[in-house]
Amino acid sequence: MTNPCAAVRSRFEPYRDESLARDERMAMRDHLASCADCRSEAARFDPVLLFAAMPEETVSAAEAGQILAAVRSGIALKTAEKRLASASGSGSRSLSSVLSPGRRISATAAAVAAAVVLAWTAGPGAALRVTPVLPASPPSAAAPSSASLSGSGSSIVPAARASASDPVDGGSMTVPSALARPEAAAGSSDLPFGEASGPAKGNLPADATIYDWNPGGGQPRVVWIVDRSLDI
Amino acid sequence: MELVYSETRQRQESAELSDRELALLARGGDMLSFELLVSRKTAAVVSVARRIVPDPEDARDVAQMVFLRVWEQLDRYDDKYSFNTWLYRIATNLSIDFLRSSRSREKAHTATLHIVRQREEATGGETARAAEEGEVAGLFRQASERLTGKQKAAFVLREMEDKDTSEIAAILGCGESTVRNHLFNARRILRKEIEKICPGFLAGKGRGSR
Repeated sequence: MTNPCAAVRSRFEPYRDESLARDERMAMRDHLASCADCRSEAARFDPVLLFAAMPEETVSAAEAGQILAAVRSGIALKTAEKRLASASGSGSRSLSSVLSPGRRISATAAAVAAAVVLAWTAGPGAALRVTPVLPASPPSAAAPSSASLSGSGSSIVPAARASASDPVDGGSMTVPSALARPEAAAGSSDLPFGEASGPAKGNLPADATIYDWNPGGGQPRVVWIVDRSLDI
Repeated sequence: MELVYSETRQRQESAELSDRELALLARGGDMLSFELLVSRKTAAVVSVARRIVPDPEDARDVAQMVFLRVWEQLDRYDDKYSFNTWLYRIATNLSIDFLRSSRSREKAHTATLHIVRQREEATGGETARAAEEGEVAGLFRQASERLTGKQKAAFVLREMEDKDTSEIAAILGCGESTVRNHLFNARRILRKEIEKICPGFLAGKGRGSR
């Protein structure tokens, strides 16, 4: 047994009793992590000391990237919720609860990562203005007064938005004919969102689910396109 | 479609800012600073969540929720205090909330099976130390199921995150004497659980030391 081992073993009791200084605690933990004999001694002294030498948790770059992407998407979702709520008044429901009830937040966030809010202000046949859902700022910051956030200094546009099937072209898209008609939205009457179906999906990713806010309602309308292939 | 990319910002300058400075910039709507803060704190938040929430996937969900909550509540952050303390408070509270949820209880059985599997796999190609680490981590997951959320959080912050009693008190929003009680009770319960779960494990360790 080396001198460091003897020193560590003499400190098992003060370690357990919370009477060691922080640097002494850390030094002891470092030693336990590298010395099997002392770990055994520590476990014999008090089995809970087994946990004094737990390995550090590591996070892979891929996992960190997934978390950041999900957080971005979650912020985009919440930003859109706030905007929809302010547009529809006090009666609106949570967008996330309508879109993906019971789903994991990561799945919801990833799905909404592919969402595009289309503000339809013209009649049938007109081109839609396409505004990506961008995070503005935390709720405390000045509320955005404009529908466009292109000047926010940040852009949250998922990779899937650049896919070949992406209908966006040069800042506008042609309104799918079915979407241009309010009756195309097959939503229940008590929800602000309804799931569209039929030919509306023609120009969209195969796994896309279209949610039509305020189906059959007046102008402006907002359509969410959610690419389910991105669910994780 | 007109996009404005954050790459035009001076990432390097932002990287030199403190957590508190980044938080204040993020509160003003600077998403670059917020994302930098997320990147900087991901490992710490995931670590706490994984220690408290048994299932790794759930822990990742909790970590995501933590950062969303941070973003939502940045206006409540009092910059007189450490950003880390505030972040850990959100992380432990959400992890404890998750533990209390029915979903977590449903997964408890799965987590136990995972531990068993991990032990079986650990006897294979892994090194002895890696096997032991996996075994100890699995043992903690199983034994700590009997702890309350606060007891578990206090123990994790103390033993695995190197927090002082005063810091833990600030994170958990309680007094230092309460933290000491949580730690004392956590150790008592863990001791009992370890001896119940695998008495042979400890006997083996004891023999190995001679």
